[in-house]
Amino acid sequence: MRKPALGVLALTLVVGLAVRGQEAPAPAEPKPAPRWADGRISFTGSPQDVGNWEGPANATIFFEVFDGKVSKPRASLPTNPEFKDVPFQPWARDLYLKRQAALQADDPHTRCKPSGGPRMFHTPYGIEILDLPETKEVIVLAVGAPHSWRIIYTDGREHPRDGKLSWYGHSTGKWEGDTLVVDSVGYNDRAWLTREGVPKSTKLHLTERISRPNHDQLKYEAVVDDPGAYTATWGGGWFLRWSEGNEPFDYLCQENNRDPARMTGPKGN
Amino acid sequence: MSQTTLGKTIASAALTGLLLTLSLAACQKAPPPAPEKPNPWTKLAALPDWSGVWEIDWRNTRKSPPRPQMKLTPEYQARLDTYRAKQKGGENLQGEAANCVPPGLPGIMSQPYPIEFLYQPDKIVMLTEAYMQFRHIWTDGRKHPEDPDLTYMGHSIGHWEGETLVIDSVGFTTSTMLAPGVPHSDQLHITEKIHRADKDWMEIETTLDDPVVFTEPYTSTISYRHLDDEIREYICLENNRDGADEKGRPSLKLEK
Repeated sequence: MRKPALGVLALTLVVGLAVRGQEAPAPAEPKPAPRWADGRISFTGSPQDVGNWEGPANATIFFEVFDGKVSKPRASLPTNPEFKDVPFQPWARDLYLKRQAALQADDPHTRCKPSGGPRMFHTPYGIEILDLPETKEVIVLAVGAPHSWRIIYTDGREHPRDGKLSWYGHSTGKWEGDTLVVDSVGYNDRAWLTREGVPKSTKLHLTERISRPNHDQLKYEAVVDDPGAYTATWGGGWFLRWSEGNEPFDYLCQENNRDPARMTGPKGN
Repeated sequence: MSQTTLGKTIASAALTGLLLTLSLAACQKAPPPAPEKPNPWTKLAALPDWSGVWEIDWRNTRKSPPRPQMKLTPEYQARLDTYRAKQKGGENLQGEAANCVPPGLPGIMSQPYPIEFLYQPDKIVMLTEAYMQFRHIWTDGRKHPEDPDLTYMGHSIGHWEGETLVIDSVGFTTSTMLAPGVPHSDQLHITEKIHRADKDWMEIETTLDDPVVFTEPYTSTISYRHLDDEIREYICLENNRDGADEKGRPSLKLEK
């Protein structure tokens, strides 16, 4: 009886998917996103469905132009802006171009510094999202960023008025249907917004929208409201891939890290 | 498609599937009724309440008995004696923790920063504020891998004995220390028994077993105080000015 009963469940979910999964770019009909017994969507695996999310290293938050051609990494959202449309303030644009010219040689991440905001979500090695309705928290565990965690409070609290600036900022979240909407402030200006060296200031107010259009994809969208570095609100995002069978592993950036010595830039920057 | 239409479609598909199921079932002998799928969170709600954060009783305000002496094999006793002699001679014996390399297990459990437990259907995740690390303790009934990768936290499996969580861990890198001057082998086996003693206190009894290091397993108990607080960001590498000596070891001398 057990197997046929599961068949009914699967059939029901596949029909649901035909409507729900329209925005997903995957070619074949992907499995629907799993749900808890109470119907809430799940961003995590289970003992029967082991895995976690692989951050797409090559995904960018806006599209760059290389050799006159717009580069659109596959994992990036097709709606991302192009570089020319990003409302940089002059200093932020200059800093970004300087970091690009130096081939990101001074990337804090390669010095084992934490990656907050979007940077965490396109760092490889595995991201696990724990939804804790009991304690009203969502915890993001990131192996590569580097082997650390981030807390999103979902208990309705507000941001502290004079919170200490930090690498991960202060995050509150709420569910809008199947989408987790995360609101964050209190970032220091030392981390990079993304791995390409996109700058941010301490005035950053970040809104992240995280959803799971189907079993195999997590959609990550960031809205950047940073009057310290940009003249208008803008944003972009990408899809993370479900990495079947992957479980968090020990990763110590600080152990035998040889990157900083090699990351010298084109002119020994 | 409107929500109502969608609902009807799902209901209709479910009905079709159900009829198919029933006709299939009719062809076989009467099977036992399908067990109700338990809500994985209901099971967790029955576990002891360890919510909030817990901080080690660093100053022993609880007046716990002192930790016993380790009974070391002659080789490891000799190593410890050498270490202490060097220490007395003023040699720099700092470990890599001063360069922000996390101490791994068991050291990560005796840092003066809070820890938090997160119950999940297949595991318990422990967050440590020190070095912002996380541990995964698998409670889904799995065994240790036969040939585990050697890591700082090891491979941990856990089960409940009443209100006590029993954690069994193996597979440790030999880069870490059990105590100053006491390294270990790849045979290190750690058992932790964690229970909430009362409203304010949690006790963690830790047994270190390593036949290369100890003549008998070493057991000690640490108390953790319940704090009405939250776990916070901790970045060892933030403005760490600890320089290195000529051998690349942490100098513990602040750079000017």
